[in-house]
This record gives sequence, structure tokens and C-alpha cells, in this order.
Amino acid sequence: MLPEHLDFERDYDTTASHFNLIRDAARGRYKIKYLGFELIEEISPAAALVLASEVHMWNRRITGRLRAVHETWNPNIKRLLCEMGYFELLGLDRPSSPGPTGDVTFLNFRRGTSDPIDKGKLAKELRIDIEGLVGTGIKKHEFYQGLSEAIVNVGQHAYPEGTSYASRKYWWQSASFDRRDRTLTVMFYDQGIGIPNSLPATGFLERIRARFDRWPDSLKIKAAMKYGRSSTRRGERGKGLQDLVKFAKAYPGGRLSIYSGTGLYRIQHGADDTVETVRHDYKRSIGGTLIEWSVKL
Amino acid sequence: MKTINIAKDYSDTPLGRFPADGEFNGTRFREEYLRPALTGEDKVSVQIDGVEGYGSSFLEEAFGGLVRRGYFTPDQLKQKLDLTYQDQDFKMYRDLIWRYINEAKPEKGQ
Repeated sequence: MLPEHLDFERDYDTTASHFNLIRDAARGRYKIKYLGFELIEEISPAAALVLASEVHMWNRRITGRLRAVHETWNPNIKRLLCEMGYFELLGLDRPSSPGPTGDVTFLNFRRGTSDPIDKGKLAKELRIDIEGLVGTGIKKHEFYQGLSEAIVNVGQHAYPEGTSYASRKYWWQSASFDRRDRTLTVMFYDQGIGIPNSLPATGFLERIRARFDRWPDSLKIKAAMKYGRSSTRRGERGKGLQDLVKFAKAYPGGRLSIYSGTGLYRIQHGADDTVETVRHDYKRSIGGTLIEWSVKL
Repeated sequence: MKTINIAKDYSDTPLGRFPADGEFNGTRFREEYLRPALTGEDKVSVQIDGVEGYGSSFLEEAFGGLVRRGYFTPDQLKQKLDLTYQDQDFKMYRDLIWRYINEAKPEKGQ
């Protein structure tokens, strides 16, 4: 049974521990007979995205035999998951009465793979959908710069060949808009090895490798943001992580949060050009990398 | 003088470094558009606006890669390459391209 609150911000450990159980089931470590949504009262957009990715992988494992008895679900949860396309993503019947419209509206989940298709087009489509949702233009160049590099990072680093991760190669994205304070949140998630498990790109970090390996994940994310991330030790590679912050930086108060492994690294830009950073480390892994941009339009 | 309009001649959604990253990656743009034009012409104008945006991977591979692969030196590119835009938002990308060109080092064996 899933808990009342699924929200990394509010209760990271409870949220992550439940997702870890679904992930373990998806990897065949044990069987889940039933996944109960009845207790859920609140689910954040980012948690909904990660939940959908975990359930999607679990549903693949049980070859699409997933069922949803949504009559007993909280109407708000049902509406949120309807708006995000949860039922379509998992091949389930959509509820006929998804519930009342709320202050927060969500965009459909989009799922991508590492196949060499025109992934930039997916990023452009998301931007167009977001502008339809919020009713105004957004800083599209900075948005594309961040999202396209997130997509590239997944292909180049998240699912290394020759590892058990190589067969997954999916990523998921979505967005939400809160009309009350005009906050746009864009989320991007992969179930890969995580930024802390990528090799450092710079000679400097290579030289302190032994010490680097003992750093908490949040510090490794910070280092990767600052110095780059590369699995090739090539200096020109791995600089794309620095592109992620551009969209948040384009708006006063814009925030970029990167959860990867057991760490969180957050950069918040103040209205007066100040920058605050937050690091936090948790007991449990988020099971990949979750990137969340939050800006006030 | 040859002119390449990235958005019209290549893609308005360029992305990534290698073919595995996506169809409209930096390696393909460099090898199929940029390098042939720079090899055959004294001067090449590349219009960089009109696209959704650029990530570092695309720009470094497409433009920095010209130097890393040993095709041209930064000085040669300063003589031959003209980066143009009408949309002033793209100044930041022009500056980034020149930074990647100037920072690139020819790879061993090139």
C-alpha cells in the first residue's frame, strides 16, 4: 500500500522507500501482488513522474497484467494521474470521471528512449505544450539548452553498455503549472547509474579520486555540475550538466534541483543575482537521476 | 561565399554530440555540412539563430571538433568562419562557439 504522502520534498525517505520496493519487484527480486493507491492524499508532480516510471518498468516485468481499481482513490490523485497520462502510459483504462479541476495542472508524461531518433523534437514539443498550458511564452532557448543536455546525458552516461542498466534506457519527462503562484515545474527522470557513479571528467578530480569516492553523493553532484561529468576522461566531454542551470537562471527565483543516487544538490537564483545552493544526503537512493526545474512566470 | 542556415538547412532542433545522441547531432553537422563548406570555400557564413537553442554538446562537437580533429586551426577559422544571427538572444551561442574553438586542442594523431 502506498503512503498518504508521496513527495520528495516533504518526506523523501518514505517516498523513496516505497519506490525502491516497486523497483525491486520490477527487477524480479520479489513479487508484488497488489499496489494500493487508496491511501494517497497528496503526490507531488516529481513523485508522480518517478512513480509512473517505476510502475511502467514493473508492468513490463509482469507483461502488462497491471490493473487499476481507481474507484476508491482520492479524486485529486485520480485527476492528477489522468492529466499526466498515467493510465495511457501503462495501457490501463482511463477513469470516466477523473475528478474536479484543481489549481495545479499537469502535462502528459512523455517517455523517451536512448534510440538515435530526433530527440530535440521531443524537447520542442514539450516546450509548445508547456506554453499552451501556461498561456505565455517561456525562455525557450534556455529551456531547450537544459532539457536537450539532460536527454544527451541519459544517452551518454546513465545506462552504460555492459552493465545491467543497459537494457532499460528509458527517460520520462513531464511538467506542471500552479496557477496560484504561476509556478512552472518541469521534471526529467532516468533510472540510470546516477551522476555520482559517473567518472569525474577533470584531471583534478581524477588525482583526488580516492577522496572523491568517499564524498557523499550530494557533493559528487555538485562537483559534476562544476567540473563536468564524463565516462571517457575526455576534457571536452561532460560539460552539458552546466547547461541544466540555464533555464532556472533565466527567471528570478528560479530553482534547479538534482536528485541523484542518495544526494540532492539544489541551486536557487535570487531576484538580486544571488545564488544559494543546498546539499542534502539521504539513506535511500532515488533510483537514478531526477532533475527538476521550478520557475515563477 | 557559402551560407549555411542551421535551422533551415539542418534542423531547428539540433541536439547532442554523436549519432547515438540523435539524428541531428554535432558530428553529423560538422562532417556533412560545416567541414565540406569550409574546405571548399574561402569564407563560410553560418546563420545560427532560428533554432530552439543549443546544448554545449552539439556546439562543442560541431565547432570545437573542427580543431580537435585537426581539420582547421582557430586562426584559420577566424579567417574563414562568420557566425551570424538576427535574434540577439543568440549572441551567447556565438560567444560559446568561439570559446569552444579557441579552447579546443588537436587530438593526438590528428
